[in-house]
Amino acid sequence: MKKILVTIIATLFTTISLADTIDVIKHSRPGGLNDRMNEVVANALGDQFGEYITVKNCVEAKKVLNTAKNKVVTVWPTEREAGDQPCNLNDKLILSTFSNSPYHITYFADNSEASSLEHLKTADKIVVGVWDSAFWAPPQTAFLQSLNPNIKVVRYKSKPFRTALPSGEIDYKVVSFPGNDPVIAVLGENSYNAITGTELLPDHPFADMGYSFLFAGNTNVDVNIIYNSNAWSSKKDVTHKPWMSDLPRIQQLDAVARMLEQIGDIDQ
Amino acid sequence: MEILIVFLVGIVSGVLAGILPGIGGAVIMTLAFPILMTLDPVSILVFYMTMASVDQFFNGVTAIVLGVPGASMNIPTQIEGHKLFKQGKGDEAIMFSAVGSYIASMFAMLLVICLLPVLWGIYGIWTSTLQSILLSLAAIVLILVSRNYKIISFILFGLGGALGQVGYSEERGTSFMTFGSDMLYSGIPILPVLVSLFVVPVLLKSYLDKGGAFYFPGVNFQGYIQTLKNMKHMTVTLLRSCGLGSIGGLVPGMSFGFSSLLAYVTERWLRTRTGEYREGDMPCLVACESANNAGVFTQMVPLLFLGIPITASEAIIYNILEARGLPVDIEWFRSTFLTVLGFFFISSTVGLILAAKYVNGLKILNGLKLSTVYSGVMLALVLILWQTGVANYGGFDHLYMALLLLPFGLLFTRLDTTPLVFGFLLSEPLLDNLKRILVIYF
Repeated sequence: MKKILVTIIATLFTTISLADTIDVIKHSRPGGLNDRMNEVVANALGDQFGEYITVKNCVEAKKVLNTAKNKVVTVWPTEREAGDQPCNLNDKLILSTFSNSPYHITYFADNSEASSLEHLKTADKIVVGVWDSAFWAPPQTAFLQSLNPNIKVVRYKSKPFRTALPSGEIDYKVVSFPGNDPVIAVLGENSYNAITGTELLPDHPFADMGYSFLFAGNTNVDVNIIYNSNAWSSKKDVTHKPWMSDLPRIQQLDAVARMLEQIGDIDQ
Repeated sequence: MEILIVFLVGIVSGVLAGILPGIGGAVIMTLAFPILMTLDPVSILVFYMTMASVDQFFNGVTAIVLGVPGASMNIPTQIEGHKLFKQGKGDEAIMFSAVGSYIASMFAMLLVICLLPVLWGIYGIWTSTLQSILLSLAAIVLILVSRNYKIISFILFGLGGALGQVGYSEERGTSFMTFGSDMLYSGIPILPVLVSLFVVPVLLKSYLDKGGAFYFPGVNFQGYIQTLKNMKHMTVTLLRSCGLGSIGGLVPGMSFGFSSLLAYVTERWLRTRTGEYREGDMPCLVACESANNAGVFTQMVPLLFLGIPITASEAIIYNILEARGLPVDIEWFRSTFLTVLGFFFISSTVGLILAAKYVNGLKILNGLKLSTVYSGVMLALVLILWQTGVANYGGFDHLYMALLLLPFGLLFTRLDTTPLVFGFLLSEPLLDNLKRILVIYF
């Protein structure tokens, strides 16, 4: 009888302890940006962190978010909420916006011609490389061609994108993380003393644009816990900053919906 | 002291990465990631170079003796080397492959030293146009030299290309042949394709064609000396392959795996033209193996020189270096180059000696029925498929996909499925390059 009682109490405590922890879903290529961001979340949760739930892709992650009995959270690329995509989440699972890294227009250090903003704005023949994404390439193209109609926009996958600037095949490239390449303009928050997108084209809908993440989960976790943690301040992806953190959730979701709608309108 | 421990661990990791198919450098680097984060940056590079160079001496052995290519770049080694093994020339195949690889490593080091002043020029010509030309050339020659009818090879190449497109594409925002399955959403990884459509048909054919017992005569020091002397007849092959392999390592988007294929198909095409080629061809084996090793060293140049990682393993190194706040630039390249060079030389020599010494351990299998050996290999492949699935957050997925593809592999038992595997690998970068050229120039 005593043993049974002890077992029941132990089980009860274990259950309570499990219920208090928060699991983090990893649903992307190991070591990639998305994966690293989820590690930041897990580390930031400290004692509250339960375990990683690793799934093979966002379709499975969506299933976990919809059905998990435990508390689960994850970082979710914003573009997955656009249109009728297989990984589109119900709004109730979006806890808040998470992070945003502005897009930087960079050039190759040895290309002295490209170091002049006038060249970007007025040259007759100019090629700009962008990340090969069905979602992000259209607004980037729209912005660049509004800046200079002569700009040709070429989409690149990761490996060839790395040599595109040194080979001279493109004059500029648009990236969320510029590495060591010099930055000529920033679409969004500026930490390079470079000209911003809103200065270049004040009224353009995509003048303030970056690669962003949402924070998703089945439990209410305050994203400020993450922003205030050591894991956040020491993270590798330094260009990612808190995104719309001063707005209430409902306004954040509205702003995201408007942005997705604007980008969606380009295709039509 | 740290650097010596790292060097020794790198050697052990290289042996493991070489003999276990599918457990390549990237998997080892991922497993070692937490430890690497705590090391000195130069130690990280030494670990990687040691592992990568030793790996190259051992992965050829698995392909030659057991008929299992550890990665796509070892497919040519498997085609020629395993045939040689079945002809009772496994020892020669291993020695030629090892000596060729060692010479290629030395060639690559000298080449990089000579090229240092003009490296920028190389990157200046590496455009989408040049990439398209090289990829097209490789695809065409691959189809021409395949032992199938050309039209069959062409269809297989296309079929491989179609398999490579399966999944949800974030670039296009569309799904292709996913049939609503979550498993297929992320596409088909290379390992199940390699196992089911290339390795299993080859092993099955060997299993059905030839009974008897496993026999590996072993290698010895005198044999290596003789091989070195005989290598002078392959000087042109070596130079050409070392050159192609080195270029593959130097240029992102090409990869030394691809340049190894290019070296192989070029050699095979040339020898077919002169009527000298028969499957189990030593110069072709030397061509692909030496190209591999040359590329392993030169691939460090874009990483250290421009901060451009060109393989998954290098991307991990790059992440670590960045996370440690270390600028990967020319100055750093200059300061680390001699250390990396020295350790690469030592690890290549150690790799050669280890491969020469411990490959004789395979003699333990002598006398076993070939059917038993091949069954053991197949069982090991099942375990590796499961393990790599787990490592990539996919659980049993790799295994399920291999099972789904297996009927096609069995159907193609009598065909040369190399065009299919390389169609899977090459068609996407080829189309991607052509698409870019259209936008840039038209």
